[in-house]
Amino acid sequence: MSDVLLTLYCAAADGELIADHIGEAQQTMVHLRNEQVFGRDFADASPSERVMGQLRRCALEVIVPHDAIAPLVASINALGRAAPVRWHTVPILSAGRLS
Amino acid sequence: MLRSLVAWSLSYRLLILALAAILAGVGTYAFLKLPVDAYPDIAPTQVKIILKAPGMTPEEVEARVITPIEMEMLGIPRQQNLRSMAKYAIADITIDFDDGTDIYWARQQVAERLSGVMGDMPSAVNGGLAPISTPLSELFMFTIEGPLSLEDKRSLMDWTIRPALRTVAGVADVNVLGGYARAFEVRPDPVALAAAGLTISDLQTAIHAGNRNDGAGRLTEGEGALIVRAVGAVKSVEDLQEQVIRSSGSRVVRLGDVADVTIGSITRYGAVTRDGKGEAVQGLVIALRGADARLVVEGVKERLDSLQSSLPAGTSIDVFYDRSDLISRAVGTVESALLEATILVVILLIIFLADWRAAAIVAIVLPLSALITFITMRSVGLTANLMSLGGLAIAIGILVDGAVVVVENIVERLRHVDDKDHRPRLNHIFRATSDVIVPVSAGILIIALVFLPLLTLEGLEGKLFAPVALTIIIALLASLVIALTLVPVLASLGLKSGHHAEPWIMRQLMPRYRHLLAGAFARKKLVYGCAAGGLAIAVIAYGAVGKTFMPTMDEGSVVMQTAKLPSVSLDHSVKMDLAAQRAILKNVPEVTSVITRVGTDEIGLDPMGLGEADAFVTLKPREEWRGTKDDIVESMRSAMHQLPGAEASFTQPIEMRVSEMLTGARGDLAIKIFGPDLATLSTLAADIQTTLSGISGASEVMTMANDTVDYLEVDIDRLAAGRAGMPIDALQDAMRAKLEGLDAGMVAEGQRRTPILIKGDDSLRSDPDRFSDLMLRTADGNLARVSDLARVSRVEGPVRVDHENGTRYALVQAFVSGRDLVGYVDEAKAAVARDVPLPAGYSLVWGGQFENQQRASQRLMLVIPAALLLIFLVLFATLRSLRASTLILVNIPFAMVGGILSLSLSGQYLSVPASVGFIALLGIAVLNGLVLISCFRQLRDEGYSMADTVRLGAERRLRPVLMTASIAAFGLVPLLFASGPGSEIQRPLAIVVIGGLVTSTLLTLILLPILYERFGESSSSQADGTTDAAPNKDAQHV
Repeated sequence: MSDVLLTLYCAAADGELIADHIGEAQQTMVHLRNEQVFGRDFADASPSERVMGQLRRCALEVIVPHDAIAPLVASINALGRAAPVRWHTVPILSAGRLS
Repeated sequence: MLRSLVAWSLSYRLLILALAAILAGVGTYAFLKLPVDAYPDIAPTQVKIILKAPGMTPEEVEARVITPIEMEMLGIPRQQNLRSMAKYAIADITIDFDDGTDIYWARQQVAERLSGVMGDMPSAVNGGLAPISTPLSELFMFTIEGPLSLEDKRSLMDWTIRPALRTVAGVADVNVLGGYARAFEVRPDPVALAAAGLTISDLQTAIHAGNRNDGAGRLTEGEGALIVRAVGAVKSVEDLQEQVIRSSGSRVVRLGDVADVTIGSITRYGAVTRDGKGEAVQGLVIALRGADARLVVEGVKERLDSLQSSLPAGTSIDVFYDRSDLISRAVGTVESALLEATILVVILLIIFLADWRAAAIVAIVLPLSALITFITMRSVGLTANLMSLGGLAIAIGILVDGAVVVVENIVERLRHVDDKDHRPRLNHIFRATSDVIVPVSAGILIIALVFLPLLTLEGLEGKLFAPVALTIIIALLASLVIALTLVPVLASLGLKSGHHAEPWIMRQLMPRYRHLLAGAFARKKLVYGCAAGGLAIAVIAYGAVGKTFMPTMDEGSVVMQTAKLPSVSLDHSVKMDLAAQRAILKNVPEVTSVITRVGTDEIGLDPMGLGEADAFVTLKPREEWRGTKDDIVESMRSAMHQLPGAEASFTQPIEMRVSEMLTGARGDLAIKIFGPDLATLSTLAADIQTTLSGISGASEVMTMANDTVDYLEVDIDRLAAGRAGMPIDALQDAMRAKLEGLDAGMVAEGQRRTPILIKGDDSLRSDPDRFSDLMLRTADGNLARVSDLARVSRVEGPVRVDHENGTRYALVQAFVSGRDLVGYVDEAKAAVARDVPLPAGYSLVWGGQFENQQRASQRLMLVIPAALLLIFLVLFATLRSLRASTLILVNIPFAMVGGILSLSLSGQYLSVPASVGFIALLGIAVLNGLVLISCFRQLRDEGYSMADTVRLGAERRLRPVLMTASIAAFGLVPLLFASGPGSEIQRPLAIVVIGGLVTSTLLTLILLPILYERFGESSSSQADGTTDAAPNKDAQHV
């Protein structure tokens, strides 16, 4: 079964909650980045983000088996979050470790 | 921080709307519950001691009462001034404390020292601290009308109405004047006394001893107990008559055997007359210091209504002075001005913004700022009065400035939003608001700064104008917070995006302005010449404008003060007052009623002599007058000229008391001559009076220093008195008993306390020769004539003796009309210095209303430059440019040109309110300069050439400059045309600001661009095309 890179974009306030959840569910490491998004679509923005004209987002990256995506996304959906989460996956074509 | 506040507000819009609604509710509640009065509390912390010294002459009162008390009182901590006045039978000592001293602490200090010295006072001296009141405390005056006799009216007032009114919350006391206060009179027959071998002192002792109820203890009776009560108190005339004075075996001498015992009255020191018909009994309600005047009057009226049913048939209470009338008219004047100004401002906003939504959003700032101000006023203890509400009325046009700039910028930004712009609407509003945070807050800060000097004023002017400055500063800060919180929120909800048409007014004005500006740039020398000419004319006009402290507020009532011969008797004084009332009612149809009070009141708060009277004149409604109030006063003056022996001067109830409070004197100008000798003081006072009378503008000049009363001096011959066995004090007591009366106790009649007085025959009081021949019984049991024991002669003596800080002084008072006070005083000072040389040990102090004006001018001269420096620092911090900041300040003198010229043309004087107008003008002129120069600097940063910058910038800023100026000016228009009480104070201010804004705006829009082009940047900067310092990013988007 091939692995995929799952990237989730969530509100900064939801970042740690979702990261903890993924970490527990998948027993793997999660990469978390704070990002400023000067987006054109403010549908996900909170009022303060609309005021400031920028979305303070958190990007979470985790490599998981492809068939784990659906239950993982469903479980994140069930979490009590502050704002919507967007996600996408890309296949891992190759991976390795250099020491 | 302010940027975060804007962001936070837009992020929590519902919360902001809810907070605004809550503030509006709390503000409305605060406004309804705010204590209301006509004036702010202008009284210093003042403690009055009033002592009655029956029968004592002014010099005796000075020597035996005032001097010991003054010695004790001098040196009390935080004491500012100690004034004393000795009059016949009364000592009045006033101690002023530093502002802010707790009145209860001050009274405690005085009471402690007074109790220490009261033991040294003559036995007949009684009295103490006056009620905790201020000169503005006389709120309500009434007379009792009906068929009752004067004695019964007085009893009704003393024992029914006064106790009932004293329980009303906020009432300090009820002063009772006029009528006859009931007393048991014991009139000894000297022959019968001599035959019985009794003295007056024996009678006094016997009456005291025989007038007592007491308890003796308990008796046991079986299982019960009986309380033993010994009843011996006098209840009636008969009881007194039966009183045994002396017994010898089976023979007794009763009081009725040696004296007539009747019901009479205590010696009168004053009287009240009404409408030329006869005497009356008057009640005067005095409010506690700090009480809500409106509530006190309401409480008094309610209590009087409830008493009405219990009054004897046909008896009614006739109110002739009700402060709540003045309060409601004065506050009503300002409230209607506020309402009219708000409507005018909204109309202007609609005209200039051409967007009713934007206008409505800006207009919300007005009521909300006012309501927040009311909340703050209530929490810091400010009352709603002429001055504090006047402050709001002044600020009304300035309050919207911040919101105007914010909304205008939001409208402008939303106008440029098109479909390709996907940024959220909230972000546009946030950015538009953020762009103007610095200029808006700097502008409002500058206007608040210019009012700060008013908070440093001292004395009366400080107490009057501190509430004005405080309300303006509070309202401005509130408007700033609203402009940065609620206004963007409302704009986000209410304003539409997309293109808006240029307002009609700007389409009309812009081409004309462009043409005018082009002409001005083409003829720069002419513009400089016009500006310099304007300045020169303003300097000349400033010299010509009269200066005064404060315009007189029309209280709606007139008080006529009459001065008669000091030696006039009470009966004759009453007759003259009645004649004066009849003359006024006959000759002046506008007068409805005249109530005159002569002599001293019951409490002694206003101790006048028998030759002095205050007449309260009530007038018909204004629409029934033939002319102005001055015409009415002139008619009254003419009517009084027909009456010889009475000199009339005119004032108003509050004005009269304020003058007395400040200097202990009434008058625009009060000159105090300090020195040790009464005769020299009298001569100097007479000379100064003559000098002042000869100066144009003096309507009344008076002094009591050279007034004298006739004395019948009984110079006791020690040898003769000793030979006759008559001790000096016994002789003095015996004489006092014959005339003034000796206290012999009290009769308790239910709740009433009726004094028992030992008095002489009434006929004796009107026959000085008979008094000299009066037979007195000596301690040895012999009879001796007064003239055998003493040298009796007629001499003249002073009416009153005044002290300040322990030194005697004579007072000369002058009322000035038809001329500015300062001009009169300057001329008077020169004339007095030339014509009245002062002997060694004598000095002059010039005071009165004029003193306040001088003090206010000196303080403002010191503080306004300091405020200007602060403004300069704020400008420099905002613009980061020395040149730009200086150029904005240069605009100020030109703003003053219109103010001075309008003041001169309107015939108004330069008073403290007019100075406040100049201060407000200064703020607006600086704000307009800042708006324009910020725009110039922004355009320079965008790369425009200097020539293009000044022309384009002036055109771009035409609308905000015109808006702020016209809104500020039109906001004051209602004050210009207001006619109610208090409008006299606001009018000079409105004239100055409106006149000043005309020249200031013209010069901002024409002169400032020319000056900026020439001096705005250094030549090297102009060559580089850069400004002379790093621009402040936030300041560039005004």
